[in-house]
Amino acid sequence: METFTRFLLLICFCRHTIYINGIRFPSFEGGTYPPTDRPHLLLSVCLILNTLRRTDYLRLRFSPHIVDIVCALASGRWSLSVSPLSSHSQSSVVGCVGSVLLVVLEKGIDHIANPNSSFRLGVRFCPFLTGDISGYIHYRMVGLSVGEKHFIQGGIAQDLRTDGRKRLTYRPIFVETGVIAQANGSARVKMGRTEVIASVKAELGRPSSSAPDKGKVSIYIDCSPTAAPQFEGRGGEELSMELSAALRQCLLGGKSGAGAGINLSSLSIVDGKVCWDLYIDGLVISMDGNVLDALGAAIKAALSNTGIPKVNVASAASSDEQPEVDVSDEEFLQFDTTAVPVIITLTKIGRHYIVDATSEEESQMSSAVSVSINRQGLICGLTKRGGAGLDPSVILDMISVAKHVSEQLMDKLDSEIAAAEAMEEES
Amino acid sequence: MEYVSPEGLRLDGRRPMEMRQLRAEIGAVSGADGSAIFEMGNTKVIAAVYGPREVQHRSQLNNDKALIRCEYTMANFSTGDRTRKPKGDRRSTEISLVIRQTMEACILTHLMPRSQIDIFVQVLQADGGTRSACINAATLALADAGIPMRDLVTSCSSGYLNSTPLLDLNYVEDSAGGPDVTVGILPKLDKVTLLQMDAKLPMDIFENVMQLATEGCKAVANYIREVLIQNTKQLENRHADQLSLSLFRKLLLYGFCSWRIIKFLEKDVEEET
Repeated sequence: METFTRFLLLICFCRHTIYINGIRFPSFEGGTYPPTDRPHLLLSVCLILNTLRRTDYLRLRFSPHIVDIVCALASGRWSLSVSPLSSHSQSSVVGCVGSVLLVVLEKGIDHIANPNSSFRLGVRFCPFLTGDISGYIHYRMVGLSVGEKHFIQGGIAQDLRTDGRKRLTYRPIFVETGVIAQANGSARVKMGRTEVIASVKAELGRPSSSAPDKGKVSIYIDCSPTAAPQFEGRGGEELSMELSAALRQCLLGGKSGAGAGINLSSLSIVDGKVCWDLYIDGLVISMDGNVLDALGAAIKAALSNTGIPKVNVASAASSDEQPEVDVSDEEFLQFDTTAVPVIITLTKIGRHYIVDATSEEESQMSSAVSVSINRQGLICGLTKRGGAGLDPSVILDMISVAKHVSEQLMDKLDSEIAAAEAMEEES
Repeated sequence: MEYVSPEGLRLDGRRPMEMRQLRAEIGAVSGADGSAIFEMGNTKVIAAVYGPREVQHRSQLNNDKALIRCEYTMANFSTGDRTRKPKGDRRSTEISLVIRQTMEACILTHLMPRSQIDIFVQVLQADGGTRSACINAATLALADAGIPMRDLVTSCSSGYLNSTPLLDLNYVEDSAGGPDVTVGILPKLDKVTLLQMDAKLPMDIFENVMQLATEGCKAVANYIREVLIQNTKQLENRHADQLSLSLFRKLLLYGFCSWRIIKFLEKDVEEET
């Protein structure tokens, strides 16, 4: 009962200017109150406010974010649809919302603070209305609200992002190698909530006539529908193509294979006759921004996990014949990955640029530059995405920053890969 | 070819009635409402569930029950020889349909009218029994998403080679040309929801083979139940931790507030004097 009175109080509260922790509630200015013909919306706003008070969320740095959710609900950024079981009567709708938000009270706001996800709770009880009302409520984020955009941009300007990171800090990286038993090498890389798998398969093939002394490497990326429902069917193809092309540019160099980050000469077996074809397949399993860097890291880890079978070449009689090769089942050569670059994506938001953007931050980007840099600090490839133009001096500045960041990332990644391989050997 | 040695061992060293090692992990895809990885030996699949949410296409909206959709995809690297298959080929469409129908039978769709539930299954490694592994993964993911179900659905396959019924066929045994019986059951209700077989088999032997697969399903169900209980316990512990943490925060807040008030008052007093 106590909660209900709180709600009522808050409804009264809502009708006036709202202050939270002494800060005026921005979106309610200018008469953008929740429309009164949608009482459930009003109620839910109030209830979320109530939640905030309960969970002490207002004291955290995230608070404007949460405030935003409330604004968003009011401004229609979140759509709210109610499907009560029995009827559409007003009381049941209100009851549903009420009890859902009671669940929110219990579970904390984390669940709904999660963007791009649908928020859903089963309702089984409704303490302040008579009888049982069961139904489902879906909250869906439509996009970022104005206040939230400001919050993200403001945080970046102040070098403190929504998750507490600085501009040039990566999320924690986790590497697991040998996840695909059938491949020659494989790795799974997690960066925050972004998760990708890369696998390397080696097959014997013929080198191309333009580069007889080099092997071939092809990179294909797939976006699994598990990462986001919009990748269902052919929905993920466009992004997959974009990522594959960017990775090819960053790792494989030009058409001739010159200047490639991966040493293609080491894949040659007999000049002009036999070489190794490396098929690198990437799969995006879970997506929360910065997929390209994660894929780059996963490919590096997978390559260092790759064992290429040792090949004995029977001396060919004449130069025209295809030499016979004998692929060993037991002896494997470790692929040399010291030269494989890492990819650093700098995302420009406002006047600043950040590394390892989350999908929320990516939605605010004006443009992004992905640079692949190897151990020696050489640039192996570069791609720019996003519509806005960049000043040439800014690009140079970004590259030098990327070079600096790449050293840290390379060290971190190398130690993670070593740890993962030690783990794999143990098990 | 000899699939069962005279000592009664199969190609991968298992006994005829032995299952491959099971492994499951809940919550592999953080963006999804529910997700799980399920492994049966070398077969490894990920399932992600999105929903219940608004129906994407209005024409599919159903006024008295939820719409269930399923998509099955295979990773390029999932099979032995690397192939790039176009999306939505016949085989994956058929398996999507099988998974959808099986899951539809156990989800209490009437509780979620006018909503949609998407089940996405991604095969990471295929070594026989992907169908079963997908169903098991989907069950776990649905449970993780908190979607009301009649019962868990579990699935397992069995076959008949060298006059021996074999449980949980791997790829080599599956492609041997013998019958492959895939069974899906609701373990608590003891009902069969999925039954598929290719090749021919005498009636009495079929009974044995199917019985074996059903036993396999029950074993899988026990394992899945255990995984779910473990997961729930972990959640419970985390909840308890959070509770104590928020209490701590409150105490800090009160402490801080009272300190601020005292400071403020002191300042007032100073200004006055």
